[in-house]
Amino acid sequence: MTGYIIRRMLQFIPVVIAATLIVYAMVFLMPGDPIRALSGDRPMSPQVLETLREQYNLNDPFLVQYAKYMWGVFTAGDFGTTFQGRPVLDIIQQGLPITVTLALVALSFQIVIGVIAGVLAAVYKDSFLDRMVQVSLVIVVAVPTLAIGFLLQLTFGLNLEWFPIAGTREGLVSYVLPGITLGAVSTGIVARMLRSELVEALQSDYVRTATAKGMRRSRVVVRHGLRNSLIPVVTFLGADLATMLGGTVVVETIFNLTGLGGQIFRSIQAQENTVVVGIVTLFVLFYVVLNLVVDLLYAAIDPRIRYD
Amino acid sequence: MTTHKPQGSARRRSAVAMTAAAALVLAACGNGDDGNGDGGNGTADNGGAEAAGGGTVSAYNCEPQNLMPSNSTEVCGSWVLEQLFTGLTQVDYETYEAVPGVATDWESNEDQTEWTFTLGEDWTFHNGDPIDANTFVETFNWVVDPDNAQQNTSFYDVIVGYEDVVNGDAEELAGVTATDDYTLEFELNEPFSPLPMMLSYTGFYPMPAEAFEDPESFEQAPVGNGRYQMDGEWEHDVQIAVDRYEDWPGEDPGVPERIEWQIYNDIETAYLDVQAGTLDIMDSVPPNRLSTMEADFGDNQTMFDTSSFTYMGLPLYQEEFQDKDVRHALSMAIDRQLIIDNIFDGAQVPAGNIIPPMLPSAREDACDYCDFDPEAAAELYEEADGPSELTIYFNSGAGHEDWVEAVSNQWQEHLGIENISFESLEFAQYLDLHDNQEVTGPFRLGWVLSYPSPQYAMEPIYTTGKSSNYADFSNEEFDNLIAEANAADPEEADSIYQEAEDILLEEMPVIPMFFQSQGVVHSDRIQHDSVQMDPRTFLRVEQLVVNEE
Amino acid sequence: MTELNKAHTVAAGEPPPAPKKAKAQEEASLWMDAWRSLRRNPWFVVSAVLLVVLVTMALFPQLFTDNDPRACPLSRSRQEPSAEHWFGTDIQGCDYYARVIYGAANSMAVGVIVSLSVFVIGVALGLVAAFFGGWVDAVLMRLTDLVFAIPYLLGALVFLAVQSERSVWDVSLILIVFTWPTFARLMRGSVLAVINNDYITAARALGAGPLTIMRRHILPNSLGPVVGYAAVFTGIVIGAEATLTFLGVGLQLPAISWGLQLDEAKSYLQQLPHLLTFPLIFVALTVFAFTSMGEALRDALDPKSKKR
Repeated sequence: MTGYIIRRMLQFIPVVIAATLIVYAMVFLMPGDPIRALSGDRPMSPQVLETLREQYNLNDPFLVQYAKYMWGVFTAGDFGTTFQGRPVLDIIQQGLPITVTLALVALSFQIVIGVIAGVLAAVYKDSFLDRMVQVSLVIVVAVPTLAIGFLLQLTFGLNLEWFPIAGTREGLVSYVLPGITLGAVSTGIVARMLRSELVEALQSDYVRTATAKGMRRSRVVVRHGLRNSLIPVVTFLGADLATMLGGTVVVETIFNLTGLGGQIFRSIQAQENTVVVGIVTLFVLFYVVLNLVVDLLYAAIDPRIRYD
Repeated sequence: MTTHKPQGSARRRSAVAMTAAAALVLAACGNGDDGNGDGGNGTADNGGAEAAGGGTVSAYNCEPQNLMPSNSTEVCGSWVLEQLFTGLTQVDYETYEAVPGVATDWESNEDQTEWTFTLGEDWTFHNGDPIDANTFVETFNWVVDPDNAQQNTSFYDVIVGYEDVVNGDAEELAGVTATDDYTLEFELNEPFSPLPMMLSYTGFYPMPAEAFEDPESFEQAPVGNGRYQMDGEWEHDVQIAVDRYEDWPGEDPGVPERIEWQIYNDIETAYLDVQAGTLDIMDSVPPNRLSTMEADFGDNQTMFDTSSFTYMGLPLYQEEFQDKDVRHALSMAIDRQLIIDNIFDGAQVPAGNIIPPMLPSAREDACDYCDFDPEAAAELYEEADGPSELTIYFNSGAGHEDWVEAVSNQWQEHLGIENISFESLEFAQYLDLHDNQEVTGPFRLGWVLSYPSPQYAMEPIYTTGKSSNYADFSNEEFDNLIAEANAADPEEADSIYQEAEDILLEEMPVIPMFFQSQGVVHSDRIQHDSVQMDPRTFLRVEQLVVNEE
Repeated sequence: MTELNKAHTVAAGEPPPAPKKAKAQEEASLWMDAWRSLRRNPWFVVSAVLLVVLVTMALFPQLFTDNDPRACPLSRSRQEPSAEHWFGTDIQGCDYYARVIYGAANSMAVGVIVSLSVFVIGVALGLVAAFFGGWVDAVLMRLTDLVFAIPYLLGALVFLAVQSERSVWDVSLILIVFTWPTFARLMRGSVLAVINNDYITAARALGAGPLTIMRRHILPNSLGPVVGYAAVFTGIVIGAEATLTFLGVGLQLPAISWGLQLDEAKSYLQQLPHLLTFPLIFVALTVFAFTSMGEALRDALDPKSKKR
């Protein structure tokens, strides 16, 4: 078990190298001159362009650029700066707590609402409630995230004044609307997925046996049904958390949160390799750990799954 | 100043959140702690109203690229810097003339090549360091030094010795000298009458010695000589707070006691926050909101015309566009007013000129080919054998899709062009195409005046060989007229600039499209009459009056 | 995790679906059974009819409208729905009904191509990873970490920037490359949950080859969650296509698609709600059709629920 975890952690090394190299190469390959774009429509003098390119090693061949950057990271913990001279570590320090809070709020929303809705839909299969869950899913999938966010802002922020419209100044409360917006689609999926699994599990022999033995229905659902239905849900939540970290651009933008999703988006557009690679490194580390956790959860949910 | 921000989008001008003491106060007053308050649609009065002189204003802003005067080329940063710094001159936007800043007086020789500026003697930086003529000499030399890579360097190219310094052949600008403590002399490469106007620009603000030692930490809390001084550091993506500098020696100090720029990523969100009373004022109402602005804000909203010019450039290096009849036909086939009414909710002024309408030198009926005339356009296009297929170029994610599509529909309808495709690109890539002259059809670009001179509206974009001359226009007569106007007395210059403009409107290297009007909305805390915006699209935040209550 | 209890203490293994019969005959009857139960399922009938209509719309839009979706006089821009323009007109003055009808082709194409592809890729890789375990699993799963870590915007910008044309296929390819990992993860999780069942062990003991085991015993019991997610995913992809366009790397104007319509509508949520409502209804119907169909298929094919 411990050996397994250590082995998994070691796999981090090749993944980080591959990810940073690929990402660095991609930013390098992006068409257009990032320095040139800094000053917009009005061009810079050639001398200024040249000095800036030199300063950010942009004149070096790709591998040299990459090596210089990685050397800085591993020898001095220097993640470089943006083209405006702002240290990347500074950006990460500012953005990480916000992104993590947002993702956790969204995740809890998915788990709580998703599981409750899913269980109810399965237990009362084909009832009105079951169909409501399906219809809600269809709607949240079809409505663009931005529209969901805007409607929440309008209703609960501007009109009812229950939650702030944007920003993080009111602490955790500020994350409620963005969390719901971010988690809406996945909550629907979790509910639907759990429903299907649970319906199947509730029809299986061992559940029938348990019911026949006179076990209380709620107990049967939780002890036998739910437990055997959780694996796909846990997998999905893990994968979804991974997509959430990088995919929060829209939500961060409309709710004015300074998280990493929006940052990486803007840095890609500005072709700021330092920022992009810095954040990606962090994400990769997180994914490797996340997936280890998911795999360990499998074993906890279903003891027949084991690792050695 | 660049025109439209490269990274900006329709919804996202550039960059994010709020914290900060005063914002907290405002929020608490208006909304109640967890928001159950029904306090009349959440207006936040009296946030700091008891403070004597002027109160606190919270204003929308986008995240600046940087806060270094010599390096700032976009609105979000320059707007803040204008409050933190005062240059040699300022501009009076009533008369469009240069007025005293640090300099009290200036004069030039006959042919506008040598200029003497007399400086006021009681100017200091916010840290107490005195400002004299040498401060400017040192600043200008540092800015132009290629090792410092400051983006505004190219504005200095009229000064004698510029080439030598940027090429590394000299350390200092030969053309700028302090003849005594309070006298500054400029020697120019060529006659340039707009100099006093140009010196009001961000790139010419004086900077203290500490800026040169460590520019990166300096710009986290710039020490300037302007109406306001930084309170704390620039909180990236969150806010920039400044307090009024009580020792500012100029004549019209700032009205509000404190200004807090709240940084937003999304203008739509900022709009909602003004509606909720969390934010006092925002100066770039999203285009799609213009139609609801009045319903949402009643009297607390207004529109300002600006110099922000949008044009459809034509790549004159491509054969199809070398015939000016083709260019005229394309222009006449566009119903600008219809597009403005339906796509922009009226928030643009149709362009029939190159010199922005608010400048004294602007004229209304100078353009023969800017009015919608579909029949004449069709006839002309057919005679000139204009291209039957077009590709239109624009930069993506910046809200240009709708109107470009409308223009394309009109060209299809009125000129019978069968096939129009679009090429929308990231800004960096877009500029690359231009640099390599690979653009094959009409392209969108824009221009905002950094200082209100007809010279700046034309010279950088249309004179031969200038780097912003994306259409690759070259006309000797035009070049000569600009040079002549630059050498003329200001009174005579305007009519010569107009002659130059006539050439542009006849030759039409670019099709003038619109001048932007910008919507401003504010909360009840701000006195409506005090809201002003100048043609650079800068809200005059230092003039805002907070309602006492 | 070797120290954990050995297999099946909590959940008794489900019974194997009677494995030893004449193969062809059994499979035929399986499909016949499935078909019979499908026909009796009203949700299947409804969703099938709906899908036929939507596909016809995508293939032959001119059957549904005489209006030209590209005739767009600005003078009739932003009209509310009326007898003449059933769905009103859009910003450009195009007949919105015609636009929505003609939008089906691109949107359905992207949705179906991407969902089908990631379904196939995800099922194959997830199955292989879980079945063989060990280094195969490690490599494939770290590959998913890698893909999660690379921001799709970056990939899209690099890939689509070198393409001069951006067809439905190009846009689909980008989406496929960056979305398959979730499917692979889901499949792997489901397979891990069934692979320790008695009937698999039994089949192994009887000398069945890996391919046979995967096809006959694992696949039918583990496809459920992936099928369910793929159905919903079709709807998500239709929206994602619009995001790409917004970023300048999706389908290019003047292409017509539901995604583009939703994208444009979200700026006018309050002012012109009809712009959002109509494409939204169609996307929602598509998602509804696919999810109901998926659910019905799953019920019909599931060996356990046949007893109903």
